[in-house]
Amino acid sequence: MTFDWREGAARVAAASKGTPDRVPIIAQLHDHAMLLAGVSANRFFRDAETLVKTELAVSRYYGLDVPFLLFDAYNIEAEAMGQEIRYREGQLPELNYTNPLIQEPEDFGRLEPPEAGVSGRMPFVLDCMEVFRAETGFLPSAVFCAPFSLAVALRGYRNLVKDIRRRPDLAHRLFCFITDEVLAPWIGTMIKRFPDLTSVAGTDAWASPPNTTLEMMREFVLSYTVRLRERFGQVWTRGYWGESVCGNPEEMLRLKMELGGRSLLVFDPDVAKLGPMFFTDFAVREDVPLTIGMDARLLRDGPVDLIVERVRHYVSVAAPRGKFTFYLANVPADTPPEHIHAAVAAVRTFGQYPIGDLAEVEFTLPQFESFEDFLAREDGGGAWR
Amino acid sequence: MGEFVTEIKQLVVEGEDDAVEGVVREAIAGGVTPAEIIEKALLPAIEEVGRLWAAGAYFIPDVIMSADAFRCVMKTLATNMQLAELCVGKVVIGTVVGDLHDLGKNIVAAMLEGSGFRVIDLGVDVETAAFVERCLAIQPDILAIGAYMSTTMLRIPEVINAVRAAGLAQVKVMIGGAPVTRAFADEVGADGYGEDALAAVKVARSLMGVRKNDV
Repeated sequence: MTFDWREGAARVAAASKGTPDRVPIIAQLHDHAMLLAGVSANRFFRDAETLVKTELAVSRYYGLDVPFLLFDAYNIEAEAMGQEIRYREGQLPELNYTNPLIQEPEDFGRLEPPEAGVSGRMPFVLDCMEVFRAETGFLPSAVFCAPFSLAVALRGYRNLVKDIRRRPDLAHRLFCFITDEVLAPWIGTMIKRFPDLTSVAGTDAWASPPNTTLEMMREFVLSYTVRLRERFGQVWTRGYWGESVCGNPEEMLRLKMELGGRSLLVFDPDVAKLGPMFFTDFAVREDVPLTIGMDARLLRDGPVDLIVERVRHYVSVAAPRGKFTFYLANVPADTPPEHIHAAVAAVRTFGQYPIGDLAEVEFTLPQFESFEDFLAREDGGGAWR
Repeated sequence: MGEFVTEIKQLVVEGEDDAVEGVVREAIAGGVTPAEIIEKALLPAIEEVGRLWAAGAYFIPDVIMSADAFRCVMKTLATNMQLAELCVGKVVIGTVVGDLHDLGKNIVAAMLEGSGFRVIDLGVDVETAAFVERCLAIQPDILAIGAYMSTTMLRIPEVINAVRAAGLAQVKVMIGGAPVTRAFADEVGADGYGEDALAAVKVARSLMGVRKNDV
């Protein structure tokens, strides 16, 4: 273990139950970390030590409370089944959604499930979890691609929604296959390898309005999450967004809690459109912790003043009752580090409990230090690269 | 004519691509012209889908079903020689190199076809040189460039610059995709930006100087 993350982890845990000393700040920054550290995509997404050590160093650089193990979670199972994927420098590996394995319904019969834990980069994922635990002292969540998003990867989004509308029986056969023959063995393998796992989380942003309707989410998303949960216990699926376009945001939030457990993770632009008070009121009524993910475009494009004001606004509305975490969601690869530092510093400044009138709180930008200078000071120049 | 166009419009709005083809054939056999089908059925259908989308009543699956029905109507009409005369303009469309997302691009292409454009779809992951080569060969009125990742979006100015450098100044460039913003479009010198597929149709028609309901 090279850095003690326990203080931040305790803050995050306290924020899920009540009021910590300040609002925790966490972030999702895998390809950004890769670019910032100057690591090749081919190595980053294949070598567990490189990925984990890069993400940990970048998380420390920005002063995040806890790091996350982040990789291209939407690709692993589909790639292991033979779905075409392209690796390009400076980018996340990308499945070729235009050339899905199941082009025609008869292709479905030829589909073979992967050998759980062995096929494709599944061993890489297991190695990442092992390295992350060794480096941080914490076992990360076991992450998998949830059934709907995996169905998109294998069938293509357009084909899939046409199946759902025109041939629902075929769609359900595909979802049963994915759930029972692809994901269940894979989750079982992760649980067997790490018996002390406390969290198994499916990532499922594809299954969000307006990509889906709420009715589709109930029939094709929730039912298969529940199917996995009945088999393994604490299995959740997350990453859903779209409250501002779904037609019934309260119903969607309740659905998200059925899918993801009794906590709420919401993102811009939904928060900006509906207002943070809408989500805060709901979280208070349901007595659940709330995490708000800030606009990735704003974080990338700036300017810093607007980023700081967005943080001030969200913290002033959502944080006072406690049970609140600030999240920099899906940080674009090319986001200027100065913007991320500003957002983190703003959360640290405005998020001190008790939270008073934030209009009166002065904010000073932290002195900027480059990642290379940070590594030279803290990490021996980043020899792991 | 009235019953045919009403039925075609309704089938397109409801995304009934299987059913609409037969009705279009019946309409043409009954003396309805392609111009009338486009003007009285397809354009109002696009407007209706746009209205339902804006009202939050339609989701992307609904738009996809409608877009497929648009395509089906246009494919059926394409067998009629008069159609070439009705073309509002030529659009070359594709996503930049490194970008394999075809969903948004396909919807835009279908909507443009449905509103009277001839669309030449170069597909996804299109090299900059290929954009230039095809634009030189086709001489489109509009080049529509899509990018759906923040990293691939950065290739858009490269394409615009290459097209301009090739002497295709008359080609209007419109851009779109999830990470693309109006500010970015302005910054890279695009002539138009569509926040979604339905906005893209309006932008394209505006770039061609087409007024509402003109064909």
